[in-house]
Amino acid sequence: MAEVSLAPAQRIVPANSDDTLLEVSHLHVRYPLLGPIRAKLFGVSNRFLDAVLDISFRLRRGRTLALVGESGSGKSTLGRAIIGLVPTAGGSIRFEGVEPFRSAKTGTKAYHRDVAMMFQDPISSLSPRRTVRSLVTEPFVVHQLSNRDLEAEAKRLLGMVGLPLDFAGRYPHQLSGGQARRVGVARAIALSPKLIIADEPTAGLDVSVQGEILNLMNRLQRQLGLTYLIITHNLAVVRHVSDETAIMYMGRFVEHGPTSDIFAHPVHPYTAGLIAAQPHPDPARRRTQVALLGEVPSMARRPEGCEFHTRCPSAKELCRQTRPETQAISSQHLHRCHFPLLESLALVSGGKC
Amino acid sequence: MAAAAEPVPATTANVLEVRDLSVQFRTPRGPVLALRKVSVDVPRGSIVGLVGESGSGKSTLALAVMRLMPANATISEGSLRFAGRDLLSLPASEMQRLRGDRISMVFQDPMTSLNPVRTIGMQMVDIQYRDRQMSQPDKRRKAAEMLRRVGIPDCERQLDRHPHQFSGGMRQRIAIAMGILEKPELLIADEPTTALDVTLEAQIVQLLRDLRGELNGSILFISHNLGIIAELCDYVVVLYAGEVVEQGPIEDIFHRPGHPYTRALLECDPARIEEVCRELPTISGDVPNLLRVPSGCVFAPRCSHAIDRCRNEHPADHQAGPGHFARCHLLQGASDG
Amino acid sequence: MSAPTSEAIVAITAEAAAPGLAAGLLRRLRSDPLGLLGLCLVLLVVFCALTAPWIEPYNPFKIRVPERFHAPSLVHIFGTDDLGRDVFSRVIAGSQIALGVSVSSIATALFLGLILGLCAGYGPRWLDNLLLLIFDSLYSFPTVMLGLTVVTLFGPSLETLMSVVITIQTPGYARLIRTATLATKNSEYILAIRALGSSSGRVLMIHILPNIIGPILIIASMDIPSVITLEAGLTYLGMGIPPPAASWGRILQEGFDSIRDAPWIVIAGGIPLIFTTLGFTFLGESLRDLLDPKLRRVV
Repeated sequence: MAEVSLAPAQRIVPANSDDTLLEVSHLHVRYPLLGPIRAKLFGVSNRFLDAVLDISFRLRRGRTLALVGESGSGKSTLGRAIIGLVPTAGGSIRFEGVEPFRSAKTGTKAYHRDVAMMFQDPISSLSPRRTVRSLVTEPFVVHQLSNRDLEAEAKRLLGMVGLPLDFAGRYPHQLSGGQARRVGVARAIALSPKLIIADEPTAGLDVSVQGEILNLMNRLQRQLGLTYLIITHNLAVVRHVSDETAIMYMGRFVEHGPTSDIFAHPVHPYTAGLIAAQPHPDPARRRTQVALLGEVPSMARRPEGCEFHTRCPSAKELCRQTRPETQAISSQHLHRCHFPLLESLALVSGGKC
Repeated sequence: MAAAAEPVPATTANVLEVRDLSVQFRTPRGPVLALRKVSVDVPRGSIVGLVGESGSGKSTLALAVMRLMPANATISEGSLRFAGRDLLSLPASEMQRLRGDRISMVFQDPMTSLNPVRTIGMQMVDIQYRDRQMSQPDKRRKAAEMLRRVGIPDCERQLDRHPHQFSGGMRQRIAIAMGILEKPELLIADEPTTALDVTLEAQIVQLLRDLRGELNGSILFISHNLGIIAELCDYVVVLYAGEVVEQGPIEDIFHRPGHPYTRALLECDPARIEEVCRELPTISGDVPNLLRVPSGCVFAPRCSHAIDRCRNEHPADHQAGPGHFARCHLLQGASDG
Repeated sequence: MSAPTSEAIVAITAEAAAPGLAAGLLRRLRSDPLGLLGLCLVLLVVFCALTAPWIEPYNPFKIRVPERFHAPSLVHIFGTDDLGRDVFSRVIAGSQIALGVSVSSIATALFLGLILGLCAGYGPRWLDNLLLLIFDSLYSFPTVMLGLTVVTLFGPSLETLMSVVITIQTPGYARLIRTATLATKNSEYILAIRALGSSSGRVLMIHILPNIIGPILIIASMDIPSVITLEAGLTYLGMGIPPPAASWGRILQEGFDSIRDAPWIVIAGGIPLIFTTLGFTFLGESLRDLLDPKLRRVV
């Protein structure tokens, strides 16, 4: 894919495109807890920890999908599986119709030009002994595009993320959290990718500067026609910046749909609990009771039936025995619950798109 | 029960009084003025929230009260009074007696604030070392009861486990249990919920609310999370770059903020913005470098209402309502607030 | 040959990762008297080794029997030995052997250890286990015994000595590098580079290696006096570099033989060993302490 340096606003994204950019089907990711020999020796039948189970979704071009979950939900693992840092044990990932990790080396290489990832900790995701200039131009070198004028590319990228050009010679430890994040963004957009996976883009940032990064990402989305997969636990931010939201619990999606629907009428008790647990910065709106008791069970000891039943305020006998399958409220809004909170849906009329 | 050295007058209205406290750090590049003339009162039986973002000096203040600051920190001026006693003139041994007993602290990261090689039970019995009369089994019983109180199931058995065997939420509960075990008059909680998921955070907040009634103690709750502060506190102190820019009762701070920083901070909180918007508000600029504190108002470089006077003259505290003060020129003489 | 614990390596690695450190180190070294002393001693030895042929007052191999066993004087600073050779010149010549042998064998061991350690740390689990087995077996072999065995089998020579040193040192370095690699390979910045689609080779050479090499170099340099002492010891036992090479061990050996007649020879042979050992140790420990974040005094 020989390219000249792409000027910013070259991608045209149709407003309601039906283009599926990323399609994930029944994805399964697991980690070995014991080596194969030791497992045999100790007679352990299941030596794996399932981090991601039966995840399916479709991400359309130009959209922003938020993966929401608490710690132990598997959301970071899912992000890493999609970028290829972690091997998958089942299911498939398709990017523009092609499975990038099945094809030969070249397939995966091309995939990494089209998909970039931003990591959670802004400073430690930057190689400590490299200058900002070298960090943002690393993608060009890795993909052997060094015939480009790297100096010019560095300038262009720094300009796009709003960093002064004299930052090019700085080292990561000389940057503030917000500045380091911008460098991460610059590196991610270096090769003009189609999809960016952002792992906790606002972690560690003060509330007064969170907006800067999110606004930057928003601007770049319009300029470059980007699609975002944002991994976060910050529901307040999700409500504003994402088109679709998927709620993860113990490695599965428990609810997935348009963000406005999810917040207006959450259908899964966990979603409702999460939303209710968000503190409101207004003393007049104090909560009088705790939304969700208990803690997320360990993935090594999954509950029987619906994995949320141990904490669910409306759990019934069926929930303890049978795991719920994915059901649809509408073509876009899916959930996994035997007894979804449909009363809140009584206000919704017809199907939503 | 307690073996304190001298009786403490229990009639002071404020359990903690910080007046004009200034703290400096010696660094190779010069002195960093981390806190400048900070004044905070914690009335008995109340929960005071200390709000600040990074670089505000909130943790420094907590450590200063506990007299646990690093070697290169000096208190250049001001006073610290705890239940009427001057903390700054106390000898180290006296201060140590107070810590864990009358003043205790809960830290942000329960992973590192609990000793990994001693069992929970051992650590909780250790804290009671001052109590010479109580027997070992009684101390264990007291520890188990406190664990039950903070919501840890099966407490007798848990006493014999080590911190790493508990989850993050449990560890923080244990840290709180250890903090309140000796029924301190003041509990300083430094970002105790920041490292926890939001559902656990809600549980801890509820726990603190429940305990408050029983303890008769006061809490100084430090956080950057406005939502949690709103949930829990009676009074709020807003710190910015080492100065108290506003303080007052919680309704005043959240509903009638007097200082532009407080107002901007509230506006930036995405949880507070009702309508969905893609362009989120921010406060432009950066926190000032505390090596070179700007003259005039410390917030002036980033303030959208700044006038010339703000850049030249350091503002005094002006009243914005009963018990509500803000350090801003724009409030002077005005009756708004 | 003591090496610091793996934990110390990991801690130092994190700190040493900040670039621009070399200049800062030199600045801070100025305030550490022992470190400065170490630096001076090391520079002294290096200077002698580099300029030996020019600064030797006499030919270290020239035998002048009439001048045997002269006590130290202005003419012969360290006196003469049993064959009339000027001991001072022999000591200076010996510095060339000492540094030459130790630096080259440690450098080789470091190079091999680097390759093996990077493979063990970054490669598949089975390779790691296999290499660890090899490292630990070699590592647990008593040094001097190995040295004596090899020398007995293959005869004393420079090559034998160097191969013994390399065999002994490589597993230690490999282990340290493996630990540092393991610690670094899961850092976020490495994940970020892998997420870009970078090849393993690039990750290892360009990102992991520069971040771990600093403290390893310091540790290796502190092994230099151990190797010098090993050589001296083996030569003293008659198993090292054969005569007429003027190694410090040989001076010590000859000096011990004639200790009643000329006690100054033993002292003369011992002084450079002491200087070198102290010098490298002080300097190395000073640098290590400066890099250790836990010992930082100023916030």
